Amino acid sequence: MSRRDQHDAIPQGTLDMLILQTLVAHGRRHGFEIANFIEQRSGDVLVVEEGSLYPALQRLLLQGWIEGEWSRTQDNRRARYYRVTRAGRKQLDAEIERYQRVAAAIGKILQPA
Amino acid sequence: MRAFLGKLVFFFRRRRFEDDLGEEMRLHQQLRAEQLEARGIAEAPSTARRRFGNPAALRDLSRDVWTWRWLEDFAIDLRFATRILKKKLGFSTVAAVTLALGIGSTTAVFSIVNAVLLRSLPYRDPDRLVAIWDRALREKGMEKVFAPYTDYEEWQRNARSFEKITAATWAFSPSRILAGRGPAKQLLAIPATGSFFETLGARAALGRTFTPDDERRGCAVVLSHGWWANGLGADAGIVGKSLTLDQRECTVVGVMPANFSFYPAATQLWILLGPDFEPPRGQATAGIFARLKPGVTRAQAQAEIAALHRAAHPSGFWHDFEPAVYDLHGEFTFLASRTLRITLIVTFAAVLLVLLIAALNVASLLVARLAERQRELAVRAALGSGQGRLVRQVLTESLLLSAIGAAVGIGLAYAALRYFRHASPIQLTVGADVGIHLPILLFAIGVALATALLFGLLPAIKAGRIDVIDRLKTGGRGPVAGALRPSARSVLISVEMGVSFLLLIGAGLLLRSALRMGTEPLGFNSTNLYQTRTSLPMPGYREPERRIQFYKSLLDRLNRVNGVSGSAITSRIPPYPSDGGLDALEIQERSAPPDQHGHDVGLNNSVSPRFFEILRIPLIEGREFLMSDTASSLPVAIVNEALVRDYFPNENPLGKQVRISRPRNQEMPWLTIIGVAGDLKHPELMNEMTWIATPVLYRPLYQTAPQRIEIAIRTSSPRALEHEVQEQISGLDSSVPINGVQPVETAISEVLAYPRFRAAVLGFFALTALLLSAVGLNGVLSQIVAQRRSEFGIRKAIGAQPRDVLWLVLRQGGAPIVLGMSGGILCTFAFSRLLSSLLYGIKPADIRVLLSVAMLFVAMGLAAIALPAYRASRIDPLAALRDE
Repeated sequence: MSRRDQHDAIPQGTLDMLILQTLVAHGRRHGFEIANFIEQRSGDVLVVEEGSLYPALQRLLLQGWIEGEWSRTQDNRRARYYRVTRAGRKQLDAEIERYQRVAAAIGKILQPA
Repeated sequence: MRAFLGKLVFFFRRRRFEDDLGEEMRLHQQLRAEQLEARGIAEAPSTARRRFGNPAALRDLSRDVWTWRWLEDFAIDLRFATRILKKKLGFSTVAAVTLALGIGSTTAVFSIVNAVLLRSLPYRDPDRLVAIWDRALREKGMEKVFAPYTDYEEWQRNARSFEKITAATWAFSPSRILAGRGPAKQLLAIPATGSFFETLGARAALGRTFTPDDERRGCAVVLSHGWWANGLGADAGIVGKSLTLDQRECTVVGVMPANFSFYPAATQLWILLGPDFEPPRGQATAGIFARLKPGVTRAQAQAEIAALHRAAHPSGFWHDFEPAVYDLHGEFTFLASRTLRITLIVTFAAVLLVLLIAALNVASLLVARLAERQRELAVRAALGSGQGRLVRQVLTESLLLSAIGAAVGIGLAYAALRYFRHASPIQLTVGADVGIHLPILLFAIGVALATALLFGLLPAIKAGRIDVIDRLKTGGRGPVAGALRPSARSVLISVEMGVSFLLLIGAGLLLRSALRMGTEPLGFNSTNLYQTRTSLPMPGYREPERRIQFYKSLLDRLNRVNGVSGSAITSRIPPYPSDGGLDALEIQERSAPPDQHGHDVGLNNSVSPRFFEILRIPLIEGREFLMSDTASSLPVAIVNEALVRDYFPNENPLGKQVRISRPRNQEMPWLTIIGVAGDLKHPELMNEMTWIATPVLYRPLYQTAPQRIEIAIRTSSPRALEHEVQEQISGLDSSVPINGVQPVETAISEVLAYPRFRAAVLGFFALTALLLSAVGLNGVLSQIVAQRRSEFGIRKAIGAQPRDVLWLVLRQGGAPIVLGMSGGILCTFAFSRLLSSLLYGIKPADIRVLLSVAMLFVAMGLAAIALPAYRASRIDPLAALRDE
């Protein structure tokens, strides 16, 4: 039970979207790089647990939105590099659109009549 | 879909996944630590670790992405359940064996029920096939008789309800003598019309079936697969060849496939009704079978042919009958045995009760086990296992038990059915295929699931409701909170006891019926008595003198065979069935034959001299037939006591003159009664649970000279008898067909097959039920004693004697027995109504059966109580109180 609670505390959709966006913007990246980019953009999402990046990556892999490949870093360390797939790009677009719709709807409610 | 495949693939690459993920996470932390160090932050590695979070939990979460969570949980539950069951091996074995017995028996019985009652006949569109019998409007015991062949012709011409119609007959034991292929053989050749196979929608495996054209041409035959394979060596070129049947050359037009069969199952070939079997027109000859047109109901067809029948028979013998249309499936069941249907219903009901007992038993065992595991369950609840999770855990245990039970049970059922097919204790419907097929397997799995729910749900719900605090406080002792109290479990046990008692009563009644039927004196001595039959082929034996010559020579030869103390020839060897024939007896100088005695085929039996002596049928008065009673001497008769009772109640029958009157009023000779023989008991075709003594009129073989004969041989050395007898017959005339030689006891056993089968099967189920409920009672009592240990200790400490405690337990255990017995007796009155048609010589409320069953029941109950009661009485008060 407790595991599930933690799991729910991280806004899944947002994190997934941030990863996709990062990979679209910066191309092939490994986990630590992704974490760093996300941190720069929106420090709060990963501040609780950096590691929660990894279950999120697995989710995206399962959906086929990203692909992983083992390769070498510049200082010759083994790392898994992730790349967004075509399905992933489509998903990101759809997510962004949805997000904007929701944001617009919220905006309307908040507009004084 | 993609995700599903991904998960599936993951299953095989789990190891690699773990390694990759671990490496990735390590690298992340390492890089973070290096980054932090570069910024000059102290204790960089631990800060990196803290920022990363709990790697183990994250790995779990990552893995969850790739797996089905519920499946994982199930696997965990299953592993746990396996461990638990292994730990309590005794309990698990008892429970699994109980379930295996329940599920296995149910599956086996269902396989037979399915084959006989549920599966449709193996013909095309079998739902539209009907059988048409004639039914007497006035006379009882004539509900289903063959119709006259003329009726078949009438329906064929004028009835509009049928798409196709055919007739076949097995009246007059049709047979053909095969010559030219080894020694002459008598074959069961069923005459059927040219439309027979077409009506059923059956095709030949080799060649073709009959066509209506065949009826106009010469002799054509279609072979059964069985006889073709075993009797003709599966000759693939048989079609078009010729067989010599009754001196006629008959062309084989086809061979039926192995899965084709029709009544009677032993049919070896089909011949054409009409050209090759001239039906005695107007006599009860034809079984009429038809395919209804689509959309036509049986009732409509019935109304149509009933009207045609009335028009065709404005008066005369058949005027008192009407045709009745039945569905063919039901009639096949009926033909196999009048009691097949009810036997299967009773058996299935019984086995479901056994299954119920098995499930209740395991339920009460599980609840008891749960009581012992309260501490464990409470701890797990305290550690955060949700109620649903606990319920699932306990249900998984039930499912596992049930699965083991089902697996073993299916094995048991398979073995039982194999034995059933091999021993063939009862004749089933023709073509009934008894075995474990896919539907049967599915049934077994369904039963297992249903059983698991039945016995598992109650304990599971109780487990979910456990009160954690209370449990942990009391250290897991005491009754399950809110769960089944001992009294509630006693109710379960009482129900079990009641059901077992009911089954025992049923089994007792059937067993006693079978015993009484089996020990009924039949009026002759069947020990060391053997029988065979033959038929004297035409035209060689057209003259009665030649037939008589053959009988005499054969008896001479047989009497000289080593060990044979005597032999006789007769038209039928008892116990032949009284099948309600159409003969009536006239008495000289008396007016019309009394109507109520008008019909009995048993009236006429031709017997050789010494017949009564050899079969040991007592001769009450007068003399036996002698060699001198021949065609040229006075026509004589011997009657039995039943005939005397019916026709000569207060007279001396000796010297009276009688004759058999035939519907067509052929002139029969007047016969002078010269003797009175004791009665024989005959089975009755319509009511299988009877032996009846019907009037019989015996005539001397040498005056009637029948063509078909049965030979009775009494011998002390049966070993080579068959060979010897066959050799004597063939030696005398190789054109006379030979048949197998069988003990008369075998024929009697066939009559008793159903009662014995029912008694055996129900007896087995009843004993299983009794054993199971005794085990259940024992289990509950043992647990009660364990729970009330301290109470018994206190009682003893304040002065209770061992026998007082003993008495307490006895009362506790006696209650379900008494309750169950009373309930069982009440239900028996309803249940035995179902059985009443299956009883012989006893009433459903047979006091002896009731008493013996009650004694057995109480004895078994006491045995179940004894051990826990003894243990209770031996409780040491000090030890019991110290434990508290």
